[in-house]
Amino acid sequence: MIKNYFAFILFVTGGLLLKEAYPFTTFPMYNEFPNYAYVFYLSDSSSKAIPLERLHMGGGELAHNYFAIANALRFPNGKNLETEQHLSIIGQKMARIISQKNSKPMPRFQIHRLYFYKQQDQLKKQDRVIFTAQ
Amino acid sequence: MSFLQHNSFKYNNLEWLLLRLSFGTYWLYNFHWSIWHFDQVQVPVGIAQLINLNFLSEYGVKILFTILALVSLGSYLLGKYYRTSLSILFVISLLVFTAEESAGVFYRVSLLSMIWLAQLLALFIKDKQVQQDQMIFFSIQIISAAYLLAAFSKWSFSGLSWVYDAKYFDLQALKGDYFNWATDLQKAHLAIAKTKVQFVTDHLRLIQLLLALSLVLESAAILILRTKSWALNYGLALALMHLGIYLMMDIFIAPVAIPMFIFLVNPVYKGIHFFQIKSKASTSV
Repeated sequence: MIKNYFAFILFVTGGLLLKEAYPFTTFPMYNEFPNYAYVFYLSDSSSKAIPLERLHMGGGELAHNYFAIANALRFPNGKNLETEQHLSIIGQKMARIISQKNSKPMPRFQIHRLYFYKQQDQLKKQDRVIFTAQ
Repeated sequence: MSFLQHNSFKYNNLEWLLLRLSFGTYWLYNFHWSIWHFDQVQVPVGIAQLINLNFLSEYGVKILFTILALVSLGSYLLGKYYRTSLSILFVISLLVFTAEESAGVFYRVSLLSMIWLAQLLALFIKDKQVQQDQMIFFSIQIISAAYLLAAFSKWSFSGLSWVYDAKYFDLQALKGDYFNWATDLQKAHLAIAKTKVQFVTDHLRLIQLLLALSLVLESAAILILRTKSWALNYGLALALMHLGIYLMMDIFIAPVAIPMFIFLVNPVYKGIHFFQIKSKASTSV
């Protein structure tokens, strides 16, 4: 029995014990529907939005960067829980990733975070600059 | 008779060849993209916490790994030196995808490396014919385990509130469209987001029903291992679930959905088989 289902047992046991240690995972994507969503975008010095594709990035990628950095630094994140200081540290690291993806020197840019949430069934939105890269 | 009938997972040589070809091509596409886009480890995960994987950003290493991938994949597709080719494929897949996940982007490519490992493990079964079927069956087991783990994650994190919290589903739905907007600044994405939010508000009960069905489908994913025909039908049901997620949330977790569709449905083989039957029918008329 164990021999015939060894791959199944290995992947399930590995995932449950090791959690997120590639190639083991628990596939935590969308395991909750929290009352918030973050979206990140960039703007230039005149506050005009910059399309991320021009910087060889995408919106999803930037958000993944944000959470990966926040989790690695063990900063509480989501639902607007982040402190000003933590946001600045995360933003600085995000800016470094963005700059590394682009060989040309980057002009001044700002990283914005859109915070969507619901309050008494009304959808709310907050736009906040979390970091300014000089 | 046992509930799980592993003996029903029998495949002919053409099915096995087309599975190898489909999965090998899809893996190569992901591997090529990952290795040539990799710059630097940002947030180490898995073995990247033990080994510095930044050597993968060297041009020479990228070339070497690409050659290794092509040679090993060629050997695998020809059905030669399985042990060697699968060992190489697993190791380079593990290194490159770990590096990619450590770059702070999660494309959820876990399944791809695990499928190589599963097929390698199946080679330790002595009987040659059983070995071939077991290579496929072990791959299917990885897929079944993946959906079961995803269900477990939802139950342990949210429980039944995963269905009840559908009232916040619109936040997740609009997020995907706003991501697209941040990428190209096309205002059409914002209009789609607005439509989706309205749809969720107007059809909350329907969304809750669909989420409940998805949770049941994932929670019962061990049924994929029941028989070969159960695997096929389950594969079609999961494909519908992924289509629904894509339409509502603009999210398609391709590295999970595509291997699932390849191993459970084997669409290329089914397509060829369908046209063979059709041409036989037309020549006999």
